Amino acid sequence: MRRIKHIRSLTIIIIFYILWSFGLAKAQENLSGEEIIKKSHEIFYYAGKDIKAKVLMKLISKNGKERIRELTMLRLNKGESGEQKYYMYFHRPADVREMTFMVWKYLGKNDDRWLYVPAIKLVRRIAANDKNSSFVGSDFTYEDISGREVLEDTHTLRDEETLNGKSVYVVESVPKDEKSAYYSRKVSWIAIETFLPLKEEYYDKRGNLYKTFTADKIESVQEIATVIQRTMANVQNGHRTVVTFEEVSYNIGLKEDIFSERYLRSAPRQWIK
Amino acid sequence: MTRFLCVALLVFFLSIGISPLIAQEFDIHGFVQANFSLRIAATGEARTSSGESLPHYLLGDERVQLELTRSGEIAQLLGKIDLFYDAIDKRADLDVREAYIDLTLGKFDIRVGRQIITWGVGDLVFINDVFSKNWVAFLSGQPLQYLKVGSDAININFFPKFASIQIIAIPFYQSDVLPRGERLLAFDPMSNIANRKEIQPEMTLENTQIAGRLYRYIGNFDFSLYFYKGFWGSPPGMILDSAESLLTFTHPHLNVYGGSLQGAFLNGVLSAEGGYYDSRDDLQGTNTGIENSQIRFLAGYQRALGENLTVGLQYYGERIQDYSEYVQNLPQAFPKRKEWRHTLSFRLTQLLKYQTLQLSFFMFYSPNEKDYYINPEIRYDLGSGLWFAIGSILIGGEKDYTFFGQFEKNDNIYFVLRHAF
Repeated sequence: MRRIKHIRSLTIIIIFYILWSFGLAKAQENLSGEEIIKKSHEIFYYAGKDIKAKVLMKLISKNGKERIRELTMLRLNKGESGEQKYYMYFHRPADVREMTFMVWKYLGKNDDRWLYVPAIKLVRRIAANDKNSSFVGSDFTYEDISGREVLEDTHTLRDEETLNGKSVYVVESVPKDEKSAYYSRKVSWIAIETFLPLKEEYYDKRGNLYKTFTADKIESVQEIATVIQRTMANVQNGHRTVVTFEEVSYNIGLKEDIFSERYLRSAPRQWIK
Repeated sequence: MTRFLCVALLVFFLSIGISPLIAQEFDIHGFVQANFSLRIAATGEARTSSGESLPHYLLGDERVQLELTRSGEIAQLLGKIDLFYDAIDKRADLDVREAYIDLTLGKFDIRVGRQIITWGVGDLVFINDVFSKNWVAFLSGQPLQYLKVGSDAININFFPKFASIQIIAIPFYQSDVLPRGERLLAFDPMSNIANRKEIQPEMTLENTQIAGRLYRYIGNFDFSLYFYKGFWGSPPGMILDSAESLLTFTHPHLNVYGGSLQGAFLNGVLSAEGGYYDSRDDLQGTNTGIENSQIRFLAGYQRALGENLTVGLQYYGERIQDYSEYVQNLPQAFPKRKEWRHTLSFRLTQLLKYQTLQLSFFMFYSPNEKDYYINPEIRYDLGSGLWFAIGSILIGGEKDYTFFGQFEKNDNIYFVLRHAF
């Protein structure tokens, strides 16, 4: 009788222990929506200490007419601050060839932006409060390119599911200040394994689907999972932009002085060929 | 013209020749362009300075621009040559817009040759940027890049830690291209004097124009200090020889000292620039043939109003330093200028249809001179480097001698079609 009682107690303890550890493990995995988006941002927008990429953008209209933007992008992270510096040199089309564009990105305030117009050798600052304006005529806005601040939206984990054979978190993001974003709601499918966004849906202010983002091709570059091709499609008017990273390298040793007026006026040949 | 050819030959020679510094890439780019401008202002009885009736077209310009570059690790050569046909004067010509060599040597960037130099933070207002300009091109509807004229210069940029330093020496004087009553009608206080000539500063070491800029970021602002020692470009000086009935345009000595700042402010970009124009040949301000010393300054603000829509506002002020001397010595025939000229400007730019369509509106208005310059423009990008623009320049004022008012008979509609490759 006593033995049975012992066994029963032991069984209860074991079951309890199993449930306990399972619960613990589950709790560790149970990231909040905000934590998922934060981690995804770090992986997607801040990969490596720096990056150099040759970027080809195809701006495709509803009837298939293509326009090309080809540029070299340099990006440097400034430590843990979340600040970044971007430098872009345009190769194509011919009428913007040699134009350069520089951004010093901050958190919590507007970025600083400079543009160099080669035909008149003019460097000028441009207003940076238009985060929702189109970047070089594409379907991506400035904010889509450099990342909206995590704290500007309320993020809710809606589900975990499978997308194209990959386990994903489904997170819904709603702007805290309605006027600060062009969308009323964004749904992101974020890979559990890599934390890269595989798909995003943007809903307009009336609640209708407006744009979709898809990570079309992901490759490992220097052991960093990198979205090599992505598409932003406007589902309302049929226009879409396909962005391909033709050459990517991380941690090339960019120095901060590249991001200055000197190199706006004369592109750093070491990096831009 | 001989200088033109020298530079052109030099560039071609270097482009084709073999140099150990330059062994890598060779690129050809450029564009083909047609540019027309039709006068829409009523000209009445007005005649050109040579007594002919005013042409209906301000521009009938067809051109090809070829840009040749050859680059290596430390040196780069660039030649930008325009071949054009002017259908109004019925002449074809060649213009070497730029031809220079760039050297990158550690903390130094050096550019030698014909080059376009631009600095300052004004929107179509140039205070410390005293480099040559073509105001005829600007007022008759040529694309903005033709406002700037290349300077034959040595341009040395040095980048130590504490600041960046730019020193420019321009041995050859290149005067501004100003409306002189030919295609573009301008106010002429001495219209009865038909004999005119222009004296350029002699090419001596002493007459080499020197310009400098010291700049750096302070916080999130760009700060610059400027210096220029050279000559008045526009307006030039004038010497009247009544006995000979001869008017001579000269370029009196001018020094300019100034500064500027630009940075993010209240969700937009704030710009401010000032300069003191020190008229070295007329320190007392008593010589009416030479421009008085002046203080010039501007403050501007630019921000986005919504998606793909930006607005810019700017104030520009110009004050004649020795105004009482100016007034006392002013000849009877000359209209009296005001001590201050205040000018406001407004710019609105809207990008539509994935930035293929650009609508822009720019206006200068002087509340005390009561004159204006208005430039609306529509530009459409047809893709593959092909675009066209249609715009209008409307200019005028209450008086026919004020800064903008004098150009009132030059209102025009212009058209540009360009294919870049």
